Amino acid sequence: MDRLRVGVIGAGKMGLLHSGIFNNLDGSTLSAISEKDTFMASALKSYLPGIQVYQNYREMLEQEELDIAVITTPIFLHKEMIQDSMNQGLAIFVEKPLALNGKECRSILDKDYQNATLVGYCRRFMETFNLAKTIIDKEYLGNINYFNSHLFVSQIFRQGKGWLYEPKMSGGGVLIDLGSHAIDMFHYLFGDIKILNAFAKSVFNKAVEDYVSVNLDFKRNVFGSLQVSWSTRNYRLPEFKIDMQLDSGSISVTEKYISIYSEVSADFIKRGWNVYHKQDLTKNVPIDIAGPEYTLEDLHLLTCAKKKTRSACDFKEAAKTNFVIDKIYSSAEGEKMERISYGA
Amino acid sequence: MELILGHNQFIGISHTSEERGIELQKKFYDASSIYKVVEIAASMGYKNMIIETHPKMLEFLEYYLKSQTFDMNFYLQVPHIQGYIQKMNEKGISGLFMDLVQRDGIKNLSSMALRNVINFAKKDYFSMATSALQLEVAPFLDVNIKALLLHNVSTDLLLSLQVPNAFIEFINYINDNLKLEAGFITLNFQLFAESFRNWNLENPLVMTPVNPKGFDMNPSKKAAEFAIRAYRGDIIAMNILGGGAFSVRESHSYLDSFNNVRLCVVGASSREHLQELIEVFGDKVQA
Repeated sequence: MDRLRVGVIGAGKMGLLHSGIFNNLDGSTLSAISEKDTFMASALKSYLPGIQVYQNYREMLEQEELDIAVITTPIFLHKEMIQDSMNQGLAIFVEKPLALNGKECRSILDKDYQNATLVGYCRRFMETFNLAKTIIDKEYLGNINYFNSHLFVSQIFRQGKGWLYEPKMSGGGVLIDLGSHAIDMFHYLFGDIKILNAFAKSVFNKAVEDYVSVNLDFKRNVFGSLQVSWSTRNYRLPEFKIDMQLDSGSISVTEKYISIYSEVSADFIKRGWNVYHKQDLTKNVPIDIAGPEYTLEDLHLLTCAKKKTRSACDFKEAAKTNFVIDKIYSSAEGEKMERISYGA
Repeated sequence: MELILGHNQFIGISHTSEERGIELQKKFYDASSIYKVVEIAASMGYKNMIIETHPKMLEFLEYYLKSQTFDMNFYLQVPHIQGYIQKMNEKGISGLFMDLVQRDGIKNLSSMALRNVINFAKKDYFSMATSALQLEVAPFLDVNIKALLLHNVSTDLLLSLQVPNAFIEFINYINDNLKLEAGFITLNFQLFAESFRNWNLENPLVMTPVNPKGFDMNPSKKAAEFAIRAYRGDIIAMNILGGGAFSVRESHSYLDSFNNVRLCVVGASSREHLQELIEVFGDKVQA
């Protein structure tokens, strides 16, 4: 099998993670890494003699014969790097979110791009959430009617330092950083959103929000709420929990388990309680560095790049999350209900 | 076979749910409540325990040194390099070191000494990583440490990028400077064993998942089993109970099928659970 050649832009924690994964998959080879920081670039040169290291990503894109660009830089750099990678005709992986805002997304989507693209909303590759999607799509418990959800982590209890807390570079606070995962998951599970209204509050950070509360109504006749915060105490790891009410039962799903209460027997679901932990559902992967979901998303990109097919979360799909986030911010600022048009 | 007491429950980590994690945080909020469970374990024959460089573990060690009603040996798990990289990206090298020295236990480092450490760390990546590591582990070295275990995210990242020099430097640094045995935690045991063989490195102590469901045994349960059986170094089996997702009896009989796995780590947060493990594992708790 031909190995696709991968170039990684940005050797932060996610860049190194994807570098390691692509370096180990049968279908890919890690050819080059671009890292602007001199200290880090010199470390990469000395420890990875077989990998070309650049400090200017454009030089890497021009000089290396790459098949895939992996972009794991701060968000404000995404748009330009995506467009440069598009000009080279590469398959592209970008860590979430796609861009700073809907305007940048529209500019990315302006180009009718045919090669595979994928945005790193990794929860789409977690088996607990995938089982919830199967139950909803196959209507084992009938229609979904209502949900409430939260995405919490204990991360910020004083002013944060770095680009993540500068809205011009990050696009916002906890909503775009962490909450974007939730919005993407809603699109994955429930489809498009019709209207929303939101509240946001900054407590520890001056320039970006630490707490967000949103009510959302979907086109498919389901509505619910989301609470997002990186300043919730006693959540050592992020937890995204969705409690759903369906016609014939309920589902609670997180990264670690799915608990199904059913009033009917349907396929693998028995009447009463059905609980699956990730230990019951997770498949082995060729290499696991910080969770199998990252390996599964990189494998998915390789498949799509080889077969020239659309990925589960390509730029068009991921841009929807940015459009919704724009409306959540405008709803919170303007104290008004917002209708979602997805950039139309 | 030797049972080693795990520490995740004491710092509020649950592999099954965050709700359970929060319950554990409440239960073990005070160091004395951790101490009580470890004391019970010691009375049942446990001689070894895993700890990590977490503030809660430091509180426990201070309580342990003050009370000293039993003896315990410790395996110290050190954090992942990715955490250092993230902090370095956000706050720079100085910011990373300021964070490290602002923790409890090393407040006495003078500003002159800190400046020297930062200047040394800025030399190159190895200096940065070892300086950060030294500051990280310093407050935990007053007890009997059997080995220092590199977190699986670090091990697996270095493994995936195939960086033999980083492993060699880490082992030498731990052996020569800290006078400890270096061990590794990995979720990719087959790749680990194969890489160390290819690099002509001795088989070090490894902690890796061994459980009947094959959870976290990559690239496949079969391949990991084969590599584990062929390994000549010491192995500590982890994730044997899947944080409560697998039954104790099922896990025990699976573990028993490996002749060369003589150490395993178990999480227990009560006398009853410790007792259940003793009952199932029989006389397998020993020094």
